[in-house]
Amino acid sequence: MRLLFLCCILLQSIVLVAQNPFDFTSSTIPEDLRENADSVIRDEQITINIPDQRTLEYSKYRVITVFSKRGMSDIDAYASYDKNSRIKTLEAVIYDENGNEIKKFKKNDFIDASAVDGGTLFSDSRVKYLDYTPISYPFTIAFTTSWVSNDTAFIPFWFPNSTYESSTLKSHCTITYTSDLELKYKLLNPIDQIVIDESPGKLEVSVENYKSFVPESYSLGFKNMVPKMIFSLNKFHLSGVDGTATDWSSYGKWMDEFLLKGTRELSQETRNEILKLVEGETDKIEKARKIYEYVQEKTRYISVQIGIGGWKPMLASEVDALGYGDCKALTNYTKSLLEVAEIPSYYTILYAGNDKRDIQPDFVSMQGNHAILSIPNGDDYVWLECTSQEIPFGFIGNFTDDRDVVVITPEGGKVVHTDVYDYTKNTQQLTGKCKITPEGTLEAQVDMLSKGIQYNDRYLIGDKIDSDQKKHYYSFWEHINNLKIDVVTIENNRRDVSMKETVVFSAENYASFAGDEMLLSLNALNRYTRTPKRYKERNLDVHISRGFVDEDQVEVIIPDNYKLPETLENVVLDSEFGSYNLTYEILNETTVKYSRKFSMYEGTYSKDKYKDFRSFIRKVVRYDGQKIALNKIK
Amino acid sequence: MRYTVLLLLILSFVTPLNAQEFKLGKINKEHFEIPLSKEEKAAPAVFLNKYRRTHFEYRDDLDGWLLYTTVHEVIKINSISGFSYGTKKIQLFNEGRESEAVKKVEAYTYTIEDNEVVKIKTPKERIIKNRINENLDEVTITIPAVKQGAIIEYKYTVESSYYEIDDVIFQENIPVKNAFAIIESPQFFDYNKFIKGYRDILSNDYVKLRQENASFELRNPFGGRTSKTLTNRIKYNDIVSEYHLQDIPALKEEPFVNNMENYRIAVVYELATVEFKKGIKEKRAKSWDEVAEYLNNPARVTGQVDRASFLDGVSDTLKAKSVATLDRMNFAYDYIQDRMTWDRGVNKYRSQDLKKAYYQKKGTAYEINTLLVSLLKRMGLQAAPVMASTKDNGIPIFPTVDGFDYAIAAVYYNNEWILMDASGKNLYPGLLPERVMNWEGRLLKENGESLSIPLFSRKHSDNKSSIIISVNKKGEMSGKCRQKYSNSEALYIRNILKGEEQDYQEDILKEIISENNVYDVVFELENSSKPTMISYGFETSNYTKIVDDKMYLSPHLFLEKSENPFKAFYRELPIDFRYPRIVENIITYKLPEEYTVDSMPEPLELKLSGGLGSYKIAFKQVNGQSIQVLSSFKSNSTLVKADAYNEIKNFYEQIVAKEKEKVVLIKK
Repeated sequence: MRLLFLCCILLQSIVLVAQNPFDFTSSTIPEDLRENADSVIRDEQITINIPDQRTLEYSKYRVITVFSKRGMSDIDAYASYDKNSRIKTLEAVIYDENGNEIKKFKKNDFIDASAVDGGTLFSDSRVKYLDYTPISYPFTIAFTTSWVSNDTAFIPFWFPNSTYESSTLKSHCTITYTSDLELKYKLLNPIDQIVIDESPGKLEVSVENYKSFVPESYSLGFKNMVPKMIFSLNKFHLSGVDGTATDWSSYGKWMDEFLLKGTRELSQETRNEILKLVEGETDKIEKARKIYEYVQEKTRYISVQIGIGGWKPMLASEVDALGYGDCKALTNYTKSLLEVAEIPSYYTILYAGNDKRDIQPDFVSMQGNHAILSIPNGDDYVWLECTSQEIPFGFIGNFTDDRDVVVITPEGGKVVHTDVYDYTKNTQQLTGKCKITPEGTLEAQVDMLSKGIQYNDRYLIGDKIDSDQKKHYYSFWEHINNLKIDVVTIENNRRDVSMKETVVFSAENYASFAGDEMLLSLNALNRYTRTPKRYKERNLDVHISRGFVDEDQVEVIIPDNYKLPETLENVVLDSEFGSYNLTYEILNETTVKYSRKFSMYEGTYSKDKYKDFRSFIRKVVRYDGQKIALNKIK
Repeated sequence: MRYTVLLLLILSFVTPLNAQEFKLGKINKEHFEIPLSKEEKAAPAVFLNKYRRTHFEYRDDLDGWLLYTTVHEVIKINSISGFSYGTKKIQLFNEGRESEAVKKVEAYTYTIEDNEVVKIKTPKERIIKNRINENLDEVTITIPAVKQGAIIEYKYTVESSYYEIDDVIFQENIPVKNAFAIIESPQFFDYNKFIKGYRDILSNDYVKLRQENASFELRNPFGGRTSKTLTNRIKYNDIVSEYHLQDIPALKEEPFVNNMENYRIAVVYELATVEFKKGIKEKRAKSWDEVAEYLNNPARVTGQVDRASFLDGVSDTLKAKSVATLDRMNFAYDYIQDRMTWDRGVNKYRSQDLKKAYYQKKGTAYEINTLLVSLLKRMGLQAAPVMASTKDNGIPIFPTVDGFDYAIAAVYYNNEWILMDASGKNLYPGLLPERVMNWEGRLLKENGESLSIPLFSRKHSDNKSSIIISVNKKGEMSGKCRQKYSNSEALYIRNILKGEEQDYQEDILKEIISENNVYDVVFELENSSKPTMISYGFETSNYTKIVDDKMYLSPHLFLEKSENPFKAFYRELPIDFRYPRIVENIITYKLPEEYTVDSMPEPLELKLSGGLGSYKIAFKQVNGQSIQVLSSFKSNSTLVKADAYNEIKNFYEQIVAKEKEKVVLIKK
């Protein structure tokens, strides 16, 4: 018996040797992957098994070496769970630089926390994560997790790396499934390195020697650049409901049927109130505006909560009674009120955020992280953001503009593009008067009218308390020292979606003195100061997400005892990224007027254009800040 | 006897029980009409009433006391940014057998519609409890129908088996019209009180007689239980403090403050003694000496130090290397600093395990520095732990055990204590990290005594630059710069640069000086106890401008102090300069042959009163083709009273204006 036992051990060790155990030594990582990398994923094995429509088994083994504290966030050693899913294994082993095991974390050593956080459309309720303080770098973590879920609507995406400055030696993902569930996949931002192998009931995707990339300003954003494989089943299961969707149209029908239907009942009292509200109004859009403003007045946004979160929107009648909800609830509630006034509107799903992220038009799956409402208006749509009390009717700003979204119509889902705010719409018109005193103090009065995304940037200032408003202007005129703000008047015209600001301020020591001369920049009021960063080698395409046009008309009055320069040179800059015009007009001995027009166009340009782009902006920055010398009249 | 006198005193007070005006569920039109000041109207929301009562109940079934805190708050919502007050979160702690629970939650919203008050009750299912982590639950009350002009109110009671009374906070981030708090504690519990914030808080104190039924189990002589139970009526006094404050402005954030919470108006309670058995008061904390004595107990800090025998081997090895005190100190320090990694954990003196930390090679600052003290003592040095409070934790003016969240080490040498913290890799004996440069620490001596040790830095930190530069006729500059940093300034540089690759270091340098064309960069960062040096060459054309026959030169280049950090016109809170510093710049220009000096700015000398700081600048023509700019800025203190604000602001304003002035060169 004893002998047998020994034999077993021996056998086992032979097997181990034969397997050629993984070398956890940090130094064996190829040099080219280490370059610009805070971490390297050395071996990632993901297996997903979907034996039936209501079971998804997921397991992941991931070995990652971290080289510095900036790589700590790349570890991703966590697993989330909720009432439909359960974590089976969770383990992490830490190895030092030489590949020696130094610590082991078991499931209970992971920290359990609430994963409920604002800004998500749906929410995992809990997460278990690893909290590890390394004692030295580099070190290696081998992380293992497996979980099983009843929801098959979400199949975790595969991507070679999840952050900037992280490389991948090897990552492999295998999905096995029952063929009649019909697995679809799509590779976004494809690269040749990625190998896809498909056979009946099985899909494999892998990459080797994938090199990290470094973030650069004026680029598309990580999520729009990194390759990513998305998966979806034609037949899936979500929160107790089976679903079928082969395209957006059928997805929309399913969603309408199982998630939205029956959630929009309202009391007769509320119905009457809405009918009374729109009484006498004949125009559909004007009616909708009244209802939207009613919702804004009545509700507030709260982030997804347990009991409120999940997939179905909270009942409209409940929102009506409580006056709050998350994005799904408020969108659906607004839709229910519009229905009362017989205005059709569509629940709409999308990716919200400053980076424009599209719903994949040709790939149906659970996508999106936010809901808004759309009202069909001829061939067009009016878009309503229902979670804000302050945003004007029909204005969506940089949170949901210019991207593909899915609208859920009674005929099914449809992919539509939201409003685009091109540069001509994002305007700021500035008129000002600047007086310079003999002591060099600047006294200014300025009017600014902003529209489009420039409106978006500042429509909240009006509601801020006095000291926060001041803070805004201190940072807006950051280049002016000793700024003393005397008067701020703000007119927020929500109907026209425009904002007018009038500011009166002064700043001592604005001008400086050199001998008998006074030195100052004529352009005090609107200076572009952000020179794009210089890169030894630009690697990413140049992307200007949203353009703008600024037009300034300013009169500058200098003290009587100083003389304006004889001539002031006008500037004309033209480039494919924008244009800049600066013209001077001397009105009298002490008054000069300048007109400045600076346009920046939105667009994407190849990486070798970055130098030209930077050079254009540098010129703008220089002309905006350029100083003139005033001679004292003796 | 004392109580009788007190009682008499109290009776002569007429206590204004304004809280009575706000009864739960009974908000009426009058409450909507409470006049608000201009500031109160402009705020996102206003506390019309803020009521809090804390008292104890004897729970016979539990054979102990429970602490009940009832909160009743009435808030008027003025604007959309005040809507967040409609979501109230209550945090509940639990740890082992100690726990907290919320009882009796009620919340209402009131609005005026058609001249009538409409009341909406928050449904039970909108009061949700969520587990945040193992030791923390959070109850969220999401109050319905919050809109501009609405009044919301909520009332709840927290039942706690902890005897710690939460801070009685009067000041909020929005104005509070009326605050009322009543804290009642049985005579068996003795609390220390400390008042925070810029306002006098008077309390109305008295005692109140209470009776309670309690059953006592008789114990057999061996301490075991018997079946006999006696029921008794116990009489005791409640010690009561009532606070009533009105018109408390919102706490306004100001820049250059180490921790805003130090200034929030509140009364902080700390349990000083408990008397579970008649006549035997179990001390928790009282005076600084007592706090020290408590920590000095063999079961606590000092015991941990003495028991660390696992350090004996290391100690012998290091001891053998030298007999000199300073050498030994440095050996011990280097050893612990190198071995241990700070895990940024919470530094409560309890539940720390030196041995475990030592073998895991990481721990809290308390563990690391107590290990250091243990090693130092084993090596024959006079060493002691110093209990401290980080900036995040606030100021421990009040003698309190919990007020400390950090510990450093001290070595007695040459009649002074050298302070050190081995939790940061770039520190050295004598330099503390900024996080712990906060007020005073408490040094625990061997004999049980304790000593107050100032932790604000008294040493100046230097930032000295010397630049030699030549300018050509096109205004292009080419220069060599050498920068030297010491103490905290050096620590800052080392923390961001040390151990990084040269490319990354150079990128950071380029960002700091906003220059791209930088070459021959040499960083001297390795030896922490020596000044940090950076030297490099650079080329730039950013600081000259040629107009006609003149060249305007910005003489301070990238060293110019271009912005006055003080912008606000009024200051209430002390200004935190973090540490004293000296900034000295010497810039020597070689001018282009084609030009000569037309004008140079006048020299300037400024002094702040009370020796707070000074500034000096001079422009010298060395010869026909060379000029020199010398400037020196000195600030001598750490925390400066708000009274000096205008003077300081003006001081900076003059410096900024002066450094902007140009040197004018003219074509020969």
